[in-house]
Amino acid sequence: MSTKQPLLEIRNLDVSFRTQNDPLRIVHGLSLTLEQGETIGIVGESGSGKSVTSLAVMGLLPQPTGFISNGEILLDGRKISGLKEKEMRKLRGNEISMIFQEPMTSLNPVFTIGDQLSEPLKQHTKLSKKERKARIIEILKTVGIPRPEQIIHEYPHQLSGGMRQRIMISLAMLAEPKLLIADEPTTALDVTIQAQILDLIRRINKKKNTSVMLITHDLGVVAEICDKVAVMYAGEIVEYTDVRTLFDKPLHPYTQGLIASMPNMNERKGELHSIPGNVPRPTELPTGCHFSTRCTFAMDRCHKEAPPTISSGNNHTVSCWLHAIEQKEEPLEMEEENNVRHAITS
Amino acid sequence: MLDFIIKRVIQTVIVIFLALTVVFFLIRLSGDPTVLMLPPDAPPEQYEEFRKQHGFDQPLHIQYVDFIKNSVKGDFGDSIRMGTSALGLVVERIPATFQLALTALTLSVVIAIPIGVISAYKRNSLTDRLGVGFTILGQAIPNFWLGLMLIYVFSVSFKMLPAGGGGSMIHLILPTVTLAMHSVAKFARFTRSTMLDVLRKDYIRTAKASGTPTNKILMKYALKNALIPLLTLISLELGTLLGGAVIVEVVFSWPGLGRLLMDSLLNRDFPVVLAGVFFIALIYTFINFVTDMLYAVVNPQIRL
Repeated sequence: MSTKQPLLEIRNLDVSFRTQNDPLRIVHGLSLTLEQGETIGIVGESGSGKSVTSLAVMGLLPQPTGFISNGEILLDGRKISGLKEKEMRKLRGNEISMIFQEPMTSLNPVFTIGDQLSEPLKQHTKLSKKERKARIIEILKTVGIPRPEQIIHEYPHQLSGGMRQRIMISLAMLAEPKLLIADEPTTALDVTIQAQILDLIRRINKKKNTSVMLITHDLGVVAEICDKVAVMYAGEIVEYTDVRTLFDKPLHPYTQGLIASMPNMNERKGELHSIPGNVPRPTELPTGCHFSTRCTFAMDRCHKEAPPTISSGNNHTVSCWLHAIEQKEEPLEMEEENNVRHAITS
Repeated sequence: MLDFIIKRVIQTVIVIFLALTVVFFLIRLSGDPTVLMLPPDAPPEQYEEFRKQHGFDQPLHIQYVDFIKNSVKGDFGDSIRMGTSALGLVVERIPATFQLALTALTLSVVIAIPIGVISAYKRNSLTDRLGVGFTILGQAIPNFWLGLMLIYVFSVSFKMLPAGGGGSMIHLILPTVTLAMHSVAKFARFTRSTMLDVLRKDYIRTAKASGTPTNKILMKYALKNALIPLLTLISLELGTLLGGAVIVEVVFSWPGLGRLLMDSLLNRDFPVVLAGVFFIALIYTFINFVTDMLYAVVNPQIRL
């Protein structure tokens, strides 16, 4: 890893939602860094706060309820959390782009593909109408859309889901962003199309050196294209490491559970492993470790105190009492760098 | 496309036939026009003569068959009251009614859509509350009362505008405002709720993620989607305004179709009522037809 400034840096981020009572904290103490050209996977079950995190980076938290209650987000060393809407708008679709989960509903049904694709170019470039058209056709070709000259005159309902997701990707890539956020880009698609879309994202990442933040619940997708992974549970990162380490030596019981529940093509197990229970609702978080209610290794302490974030070297951090105790015999260093999460005190 | 038009023409014929049939029998329930037309002390022979002349001496089903036969030829008979062609009387009144309906509709669309859009965008703000309050008021005020109040304020107290009659733009102002009030309220509420719905859609988030400014999101990307259901409401309203401006036309003595129908009903002038109903049904189905065509323009998913 280079010592230069990371492209994206999230420091100790809290995202909350206003409710009728007190604001509800959905994401808590989230820190991560992403270098130029790197791909990070953010993994977790539904309700773990991964989409909220990505919306916070885009400045698209649902208004007026959602807001960043603590911490900051830096892009290229510049603080972008708390930017005015007008400033943020210059970044969106330009330096940061996003692909959404639902290709079927993410395109406007009453405008042609060409119309919708010219929008980011109109906002962020001074290209003429003709140049815009040429650029759109070019990008449609790179994402593998056949006969782009005709497609730009068509409407979303005339295209399949896979095609629409390609359109969404080209929409995101038009202004050549530095950071591409992909929120479950393949969840709504067929398996074969999934592979094509992932391949496309990987190619963009390699060719344009675009950093990718991939939000998914699918560890298979992570293994496929990510450099590093943050595993989220109930709004917090519980384990953060590079992708190899995660699969070779998962430390957090939750990560272990996720890996165990991946379907394996080579084995015919009778039943898939599953982690019992659900992610607790933000209003009903258990005290201590939030995972303690579902954890098979939970000890007394887990139910009482929030676990510290332990570094197990090699940029691998985990928030779990198991490892805090194991490592007590060895000299343990709590890294103080920003890319390591702070110990959580409840 | 051709299929669609043919289907529509057949539908129109059926609708008009049914409307005429229902009205034909309904108005005959109101009583005998002879009693209203002739002085009470007229000799019975004169009554017989009058009935014979207008065919009221025939059994009802014969009258009906004759009526249908003639109306297919475009002949609705002569007005009992005026003695001139019923259809002619109706056609004479159409321009005034159209003028009033179209100005009222235009005014209400121009006022209501911005109110609805702004209310939706600034949901629960003071602006929104004022907008919603205004629309509730607009829907709650009966238009005969509003008309009378406007006449009281602008014609009687300030003597700025004429209290009634037709013929110039100045005469148009008060009836238009009165007639538009209700439509403004209806459109603004509908625009607000449709826009609220549209603004929650994924494609609006996509537009935001592309860096599109708010104005453009509202007025281009969201409004065009909201227009699809709004279009139905507006065109139905045009039908209502054309056929149902009766009260406003009476309050402002506006020389339109509504007033003619009202007078004809009160006088049991059956041919004029039927000719009027024929026209309104025709306009209504025609507006529906145009609306369906417009759908195809606004919504690319609809092909005719």
